[in-house]
Amino acid sequence: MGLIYNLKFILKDNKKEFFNMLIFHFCHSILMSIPTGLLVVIIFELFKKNPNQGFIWNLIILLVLLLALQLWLSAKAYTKASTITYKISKNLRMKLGNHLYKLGLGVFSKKNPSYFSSLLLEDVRSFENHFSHGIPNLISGFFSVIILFLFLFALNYKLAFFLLLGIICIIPFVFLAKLIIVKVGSKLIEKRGQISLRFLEYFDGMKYLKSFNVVDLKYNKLDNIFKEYKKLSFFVEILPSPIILVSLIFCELAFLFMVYNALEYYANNELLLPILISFLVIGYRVYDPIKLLMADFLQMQHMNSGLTRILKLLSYETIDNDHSGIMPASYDIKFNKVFFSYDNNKVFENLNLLFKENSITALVGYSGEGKSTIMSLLAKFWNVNKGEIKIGNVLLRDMSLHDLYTQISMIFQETYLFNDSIYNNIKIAKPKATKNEILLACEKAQCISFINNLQEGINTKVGEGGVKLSGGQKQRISIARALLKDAPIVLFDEATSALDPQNEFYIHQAMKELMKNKTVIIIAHKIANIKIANKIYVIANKKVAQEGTYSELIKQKGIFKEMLEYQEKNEGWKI
Amino acid sequence: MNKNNKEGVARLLQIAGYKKKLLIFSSLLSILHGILNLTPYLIIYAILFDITEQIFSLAKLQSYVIYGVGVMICSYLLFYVSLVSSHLAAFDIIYDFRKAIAQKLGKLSLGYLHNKQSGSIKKILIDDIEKLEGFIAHNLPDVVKSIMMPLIILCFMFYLDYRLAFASLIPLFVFLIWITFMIKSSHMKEIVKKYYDSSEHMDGVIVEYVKAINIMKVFNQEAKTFENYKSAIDSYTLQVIYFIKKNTPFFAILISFISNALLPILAIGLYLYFTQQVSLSTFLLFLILGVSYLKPILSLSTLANNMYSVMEGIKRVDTILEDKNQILDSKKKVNLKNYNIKFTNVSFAYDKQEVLKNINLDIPQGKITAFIGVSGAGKSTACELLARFYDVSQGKIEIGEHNIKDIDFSQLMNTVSYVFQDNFMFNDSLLNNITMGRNITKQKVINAAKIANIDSYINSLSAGYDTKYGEDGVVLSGGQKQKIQLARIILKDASIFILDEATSFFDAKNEYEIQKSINKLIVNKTVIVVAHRLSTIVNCDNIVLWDNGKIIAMGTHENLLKNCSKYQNMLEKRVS
Repeated sequence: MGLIYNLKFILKDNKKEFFNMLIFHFCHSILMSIPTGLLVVIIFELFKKNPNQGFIWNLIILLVLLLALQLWLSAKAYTKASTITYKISKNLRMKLGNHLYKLGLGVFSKKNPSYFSSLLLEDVRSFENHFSHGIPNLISGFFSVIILFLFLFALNYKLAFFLLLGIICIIPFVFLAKLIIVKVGSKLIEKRGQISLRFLEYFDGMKYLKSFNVVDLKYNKLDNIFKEYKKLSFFVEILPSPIILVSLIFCELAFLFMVYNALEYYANNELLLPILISFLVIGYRVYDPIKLLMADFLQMQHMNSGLTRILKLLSYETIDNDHSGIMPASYDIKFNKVFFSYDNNKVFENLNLLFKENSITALVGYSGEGKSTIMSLLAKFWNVNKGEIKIGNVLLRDMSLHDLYTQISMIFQETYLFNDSIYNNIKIAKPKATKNEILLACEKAQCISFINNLQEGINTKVGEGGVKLSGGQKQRISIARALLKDAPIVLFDEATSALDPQNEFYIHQAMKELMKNKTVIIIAHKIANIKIANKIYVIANKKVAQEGTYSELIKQKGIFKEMLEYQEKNEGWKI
Repeated sequence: MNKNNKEGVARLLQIAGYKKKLLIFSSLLSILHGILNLTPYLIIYAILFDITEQIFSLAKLQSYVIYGVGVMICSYLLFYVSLVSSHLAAFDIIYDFRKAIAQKLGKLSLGYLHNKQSGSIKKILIDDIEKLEGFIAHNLPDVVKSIMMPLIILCFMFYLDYRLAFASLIPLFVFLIWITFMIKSSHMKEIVKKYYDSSEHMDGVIVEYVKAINIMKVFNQEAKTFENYKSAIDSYTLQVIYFIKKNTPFFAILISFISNALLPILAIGLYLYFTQQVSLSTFLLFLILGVSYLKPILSLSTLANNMYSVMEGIKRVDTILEDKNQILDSKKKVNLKNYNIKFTNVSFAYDKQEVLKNINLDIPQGKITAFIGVSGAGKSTACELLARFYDVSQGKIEIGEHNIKDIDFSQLMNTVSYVFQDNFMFNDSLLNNITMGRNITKQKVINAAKIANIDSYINSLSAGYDTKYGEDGVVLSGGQKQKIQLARIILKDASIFILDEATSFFDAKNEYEIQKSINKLIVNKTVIVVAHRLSTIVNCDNIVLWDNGKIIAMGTHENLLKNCSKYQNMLEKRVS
């Protein structure tokens, strides 16, 4: 997207301040140009037969006063530019944070979390750096050039035109350079993506590479990409620079061309001496702001690609709404003719489910049939494409995320823990919980035994993401959270991993506590564990293949029975 | 890439030194470019001189201008060559660093790698190293030029007229005094530190906010988290704006003053001219030269910030390059008489925590040994030591009476097959994923795939074994990946198997098929099973019960059932 479009969007809420700053920069550039004008006046005076020294010294005094004014304006203008930049960046970060919260999980699942944090950190920071310096430079450069040229045209339009020629020649080159930078730049970004992919593969797969003695083979592949990247980055830097250099040469040539002609006019008595001198003294300085302008303009392209990413994220549709206080009267959950597809893959076609209050419903099926997706839909990580989901008499679509989440506890296969104490990790489920409540939840969730074995007990820090605990232990903490929260709906995604027997036993005990008097939905991987369920749905081929109780299902021919048979064989497996 | 304990700027210069010749060449050209770029000034001077001395000759002066055109074109050509060479140097150095890091990672012990986050190492390899480009290709030549050019012009000006030269220096003195004043002012230091702190704090909060956003939603902590997020951004903005109020006017005034520093030369020049101490042409030349020669110095003011972030990046690079956790390879091929494994007095500590304590154990060839115990009991660590993920802290592990440290590392790797729990796939064809890029006949691959129960699936794909996995390629289910891994292991045909019993099966059917293949695979090998399900191992020749880094019991199932209460305990829990 264009720079102007993006800037317009960014400046939406700060227009007034922005124009206020522009005025200051405009005044500053005028003051920067006035000395040049007075210099010409002085030169004219000097070439008179009897220069008026008093007049000239008066001008010098005027210059001193103007300088003071110029410095004051400069301080004002630059401070304003920086302040407004950081006000805007604050707004941007707040907007992004707010928006991220309201987005569905769909956006998150396609991108690495680091994509979002780098957007909030690096892209916004690039805006801060380039906007606070680049914009003032661009503005004052632009105004100074215009003022200087107006002045030169007044002195002698022909010579001024020669100088202008240089600038006119530059313009297509600058745009060409921009085009090339954008084009090769995007190739470079692509290559960079490849490097990170290959490197992560090399790093994460190292134990495989070592155990098959192929570290060198993979390393060579990686090395080739490093080499290609080296070449490409070299070209990205070196390809546009001749274009920029050629445009610089144009400036020099235009100046020399002007001098060449000025000498001719002077020799033919078509040009007054002071004017010739003025052009010699001032003329070369015309290009200084231009050179700065060019560099800043190209720098702006970096900022712009970041802004484009930011705007794109802000344009993603949100999944939340502002309704509040819409609470269901009962906790029966109903999927009515639900259609859902993910990335053009149809996941469900006409799915109908009923999860009764105060009962346990299990979802069973081979992997990849969409059991977890049912839970994600219920937790509103995604919106359904067609059909409706109701909790009690309330449409899920009409509930705000906040209201919805007060009513469900979720236990994921993978539990995310904060790098904080176990105590605080449990406490987030109910910030006002007393220590006793938390300890009770730990006890019911069978956490006490392992917590007591830790050196610092419940105050032990769990490391980033909870690395210091085993999968089973993390899941028990997750159950403790759910117990503490005590929400009427419980969603439990049983871990696929076979936990060691002790852990499995404990989790079983903990689950029994949790499931009392709730609407419970379990995604079960071990059929043996779902005998307790009041109802079982077997999911296959995008819809419900079988439903019934355990004892009903084992009598039927079908997927359920097939899975059960495999599982029995597995249980009997012996090495 | 040797560091020799240098840090900060010295280290950066040392790095630049790896491509000394190119960089000196580049700097010389850059200076030459600067000198040639003075040509227009000289032409102006010549014209002013001739006119004021009334020896004006159109033909002569116009020919100067023509020469000037040629010189300027040459000058920019030189500049281009200078840019090319500084970039060649920069990208070469960056490439060398990337290579060194990748090689180093290949040599570090696997245990060490496990504890590193791939994301942060990736950031070092890609982003941190990239920062060197700015420093080597741009900052370095800029510094040389911004120091050399003013010096050269200054010499020239002193040659013409020392009084005016001094006058032109006045802005520079102001600049220096101003800067020293700023740097010396301890108050400023404090503000800068606060600014960096709040910025760092905000970064941390943002990263966690993004990572935890969904879990926070689920627990309805969004208001609190967002409050946290908001206050971090607020305090950052507050600090920055305070910093700006204190700092920006300072710099703005400086920049405005330097870029329009006409006044001192004008005033002093006029005085000297009126008192006839200087010629009009010299005075006018100073008006042009004296104002513009200071501008390069301005580019130095942003340098400090850049350098800081480059140095931070290099510090991180150096910590990887200097890591001592390398596995030493004896590179000696040995003749293994048998594949019996023997642990003698093995202890192992990690992060000062003892993980294994004085382990003695025999694992005979042709038998199946099972390791059981709760997670963290040491059973996996023992296996990792055998595969040299780490080296033992004390004692020794032998295979066929050779200490594994004395066996050529790749021979050891060929001897031991570790069946991992995760199923890592490479972004490559399925064939290469099974062969791991080695040269193996297709027939062997197909045979292995058949045993692993994946051949028929692969054949059902349109590109068969050449089907790409990963980006733009086929997506495999977890179970299918498990089978590919199995095919790899079958092809490797090692003599010792460490079977970390897959804890994670994607569904019962898949599990059944994999178990069938495993039973075929392990006939007549030395096998260690790290078991999670007791029913699996009741027939094993020897069951080793681990607890808290020690072996607490050993024997057959019947044996342990009779004599070991802990074992009985484990069985009971399973049954209930």
